[in-house]
Amino acid sequence: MAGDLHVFGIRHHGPGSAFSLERALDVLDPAVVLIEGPPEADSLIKHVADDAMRPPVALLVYATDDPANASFYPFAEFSPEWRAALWALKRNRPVRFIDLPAEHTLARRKPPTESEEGAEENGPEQAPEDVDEVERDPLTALARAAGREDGESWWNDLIEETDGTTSVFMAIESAMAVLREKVPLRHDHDWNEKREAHMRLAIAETVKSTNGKIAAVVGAWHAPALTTKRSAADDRAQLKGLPKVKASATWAPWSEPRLAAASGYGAGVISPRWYRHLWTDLMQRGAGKRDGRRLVARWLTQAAHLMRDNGQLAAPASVIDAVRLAEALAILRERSLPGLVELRDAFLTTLAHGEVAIWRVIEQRLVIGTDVGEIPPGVPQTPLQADLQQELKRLRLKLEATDSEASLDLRSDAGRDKSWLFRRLRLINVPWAEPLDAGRSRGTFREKWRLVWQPEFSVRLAEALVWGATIEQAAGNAVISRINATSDLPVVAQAVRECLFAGLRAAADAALTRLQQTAATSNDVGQLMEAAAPLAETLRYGDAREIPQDDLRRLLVGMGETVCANLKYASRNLDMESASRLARQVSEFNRATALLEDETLTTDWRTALDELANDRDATPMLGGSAVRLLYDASVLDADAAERHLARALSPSVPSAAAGDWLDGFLSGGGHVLLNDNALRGAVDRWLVELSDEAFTNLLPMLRRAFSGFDAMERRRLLDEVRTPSSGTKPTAASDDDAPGFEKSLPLLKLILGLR
Amino acid sequence: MSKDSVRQPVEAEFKPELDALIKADKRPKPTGWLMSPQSVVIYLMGGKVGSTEISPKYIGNKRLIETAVATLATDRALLLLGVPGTAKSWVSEHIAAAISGSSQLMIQCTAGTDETQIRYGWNYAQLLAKGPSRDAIVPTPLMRGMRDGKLVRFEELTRMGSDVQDTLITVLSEKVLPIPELDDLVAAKRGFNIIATANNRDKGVNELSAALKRRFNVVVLPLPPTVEEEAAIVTKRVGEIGQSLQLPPIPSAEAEIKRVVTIFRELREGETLNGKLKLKTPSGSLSTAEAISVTIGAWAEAGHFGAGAIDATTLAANLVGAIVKDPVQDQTVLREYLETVVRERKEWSDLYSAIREVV
Repeated sequence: MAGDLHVFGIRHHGPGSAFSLERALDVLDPAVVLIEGPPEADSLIKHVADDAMRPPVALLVYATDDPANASFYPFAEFSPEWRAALWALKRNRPVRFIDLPAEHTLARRKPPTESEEGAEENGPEQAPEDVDEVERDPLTALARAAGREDGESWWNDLIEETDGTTSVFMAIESAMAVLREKVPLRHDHDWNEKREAHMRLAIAETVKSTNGKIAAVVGAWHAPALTTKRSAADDRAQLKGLPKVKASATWAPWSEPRLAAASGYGAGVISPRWYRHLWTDLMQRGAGKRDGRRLVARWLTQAAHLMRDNGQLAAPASVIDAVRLAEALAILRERSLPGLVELRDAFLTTLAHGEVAIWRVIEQRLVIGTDVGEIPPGVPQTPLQADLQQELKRLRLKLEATDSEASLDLRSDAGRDKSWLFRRLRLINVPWAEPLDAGRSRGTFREKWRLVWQPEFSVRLAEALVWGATIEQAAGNAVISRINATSDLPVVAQAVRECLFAGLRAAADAALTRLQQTAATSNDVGQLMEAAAPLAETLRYGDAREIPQDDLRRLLVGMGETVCANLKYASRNLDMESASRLARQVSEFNRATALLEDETLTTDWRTALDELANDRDATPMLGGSAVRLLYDASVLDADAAERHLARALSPSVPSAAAGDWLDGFLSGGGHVLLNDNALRGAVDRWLVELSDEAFTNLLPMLRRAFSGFDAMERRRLLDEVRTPSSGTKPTAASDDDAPGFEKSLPLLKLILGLR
Repeated sequence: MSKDSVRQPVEAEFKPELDALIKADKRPKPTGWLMSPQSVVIYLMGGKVGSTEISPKYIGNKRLIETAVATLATDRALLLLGVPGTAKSWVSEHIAAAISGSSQLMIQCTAGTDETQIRYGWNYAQLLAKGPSRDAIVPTPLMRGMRDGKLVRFEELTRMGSDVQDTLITVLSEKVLPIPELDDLVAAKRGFNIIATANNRDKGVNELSAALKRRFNVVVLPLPPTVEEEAAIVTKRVGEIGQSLQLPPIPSAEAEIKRVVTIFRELREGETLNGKLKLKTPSGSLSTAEAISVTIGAWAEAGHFGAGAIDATTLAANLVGAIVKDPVQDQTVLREYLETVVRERKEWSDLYSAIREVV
């Protein structure tokens, strides 16, 4: 028995390649199909034909003992490997993976160390690693040499020049043979040799045991190496003594943006949705009757629809102009068909009127795409659960459906790691642990958690697989994707804290960058202050955790400067509710500037407060807060504060405004009034001089202003008014005799809220 | 135009190159064009035709020029957008010279431009003598371009009133210029088209109406891609302008110019050069042209009143004046930039304190 071998060198994720491959397989009708891929996943191939399986999905192979050491092999609907597997499964032909087993690939890779954690944001490292540009996508390299932007347009032309099926692959194989001779050896050339040796051996074995045709589907680069004769003994010698780890494989959902970022086969697919568009078009009509205009018109029409959905103007006439321009550009650039580059130029020039921002939206939706793949429930999905089990074992924790409490000491490694695990799980929507002492923000090193495991958490773990193969990766990626979708400053600031608390340094850095970007374009003083305050605390007290000091400090100072410059304008024309919110934020931010101890910022902040205090147009409550903060910081002395008070409360000021001012001034405790006779005297004088009507109108205001004091302070204040402790006698008592004062006492008590 | 004129039209200046390209051109030419679209691209981007070296007229992305030329080849009007100093007019002149052999059919749009300057005017003596007739019409560059099948250039399109701009709608969609007074019209000959230029970050201009915008294909010309290139352009122009203004000579200020250009680029693009920090952008356009005038201002100050060399102190006031156009918004922008970027650069400490003094 001896099989008849046919090798198909494909472009990973190339729709044109996939199309030619399907036709070629139809013509060849092979008895066995072999695919470049990890043999550990052989048993998983059958799921490709499952109707509920929706690409993009990825084969995930990982070291059983260390799920962080993992490789993803993503597939799109138009991936040639996917099509080949589907072709074989539909006809009940055997299909197998023939690449070097992942047990070696994973063993070769050293486990990630602390310093390499930066890589985690893109998920596990991609396989095969460290490939040169040329080998990663030799067809694109050839295309670039011919002046094209990507390999797909080059493939288009190839199909044009050949019959679009078998002869394409012959042409490619000979092109690759030449390329392999000319391109200098890459640094891990040895490893590539080993992979090819294994593929040759696997093929040889199949050839021996098969009577009929065999199709081997591999990256174009490898095609020539698999047809040249080598002695099996040499190949076996190559593979001797390779390191090994235990490897497991599973399917994981993938997404179009991640397909675009990088892919397991290394062929950088930059435009999954555009490729899908090409693929659909190819499937509908076949290579023979290619109609560039229809392809282009359909895509541009979709783009116009998307613009209209976003409320932008997109006239059908402009679509026609865009199509014509794309065609003219293709002719000018001497392409057989307009490609993505021509479409982009045409779209930008006509429909988008030169505005790149409009293109960005279209690019996101129609070039890259937003789809997430789906895995049917029957497919085993384990790595996150495995990782959790391992963490539990290491940290001596148990999953229990009944309540239990955990008290952690963050100074110990175990305590810190447990806290990290709890927080990371919460970030991937598995709230197994609930913090019992929420709201604590100062630098304590104790944490208390309540633990309850719910069965549905397992499902959520599986769902989180889209973010990564370990809890740490998944949590980091989940946060990053969440913050990239929002421009709400406090939310992003909160994410920075969460990442820092959960020990996700790379994600924290990403969140910090995002915060910087969001803060840089924001002029919303309230949001900036709200975001800055907790971060300043984190920076100061550190929470027994590592903090990127310099970056965070610089960012906070920058945010502070924006606040300083805009505070005055943000404080005008506010209604009651927004004024009290802003006043609260101002006082929180005041605390933050004190914690930051940045000289320039402190000076600027005090200048800003001073401006606010003197601004006639400022909402009164904020003017009052500003004076109070300056007084507390000893920037204003008692005389100056009294001048402010007297001015703000002078008879010409509408009583409601005066009350608001007082509210702002007195918020945060009554010790000023208690300890400062001059100020108390001024408040007192103002109260007494009010007309009856004004006083009645003001009562609710006053009641509220004093309600911020605690009961003890209110009592002491009453005592102070009754029996002045020092020379400054309150005017209320000085002009009246005792009975009059006694009569006013019930009212005074009402005002002070002592009844 | 005689040889003594201050500036020759580009088609005269680059005649040998144009001739060589036309002679060597084997590709199909659109009707009314002197050369094929590919040759136009070569003329602008530079290259070699036979033994003639074609000098590059536009230094930048070839794809933009290809898009511009393809636009004209599909009979669509072309609008070149960009801030001052991005070579919009330069590109439009050269495209017109290459396609039509003349860059002279040009209408400079201003707030005072009215319809008679766009469509046609009347020769009143003729009008009184003979009544309305073709002889009494004074053709505009637009009318002549339509009649002869040539490219017509509109400089600073958005500077003229929106109602006047809309005159172009009929011309662009119907390719005719009606003369209702004579119950007649001028039909455009093949080869006629319009190239307009406009500043896209200018405040206080007349936005194109949606109807007119749709009739233009828009190509945005970007600013020079690197600090070095932009600094070189500024240094060269500052030298030329300074000489013609007869400013007192000062030592070369390349290092300071690079700082100005760096600040302008960072603020304009809304991020630091290393891409690590996002910044707010000020309301002004901070174009290359403005960087030139800041440096000239600093030079004049240094030469006449200062230490005789451009330094942080002479730059500071000019810089602040260029950046802060809106006292509220831009002040924020500058302060944040000062505290987060300038302060962090140790070698910029002189500039930091100089600017803080001015602000």
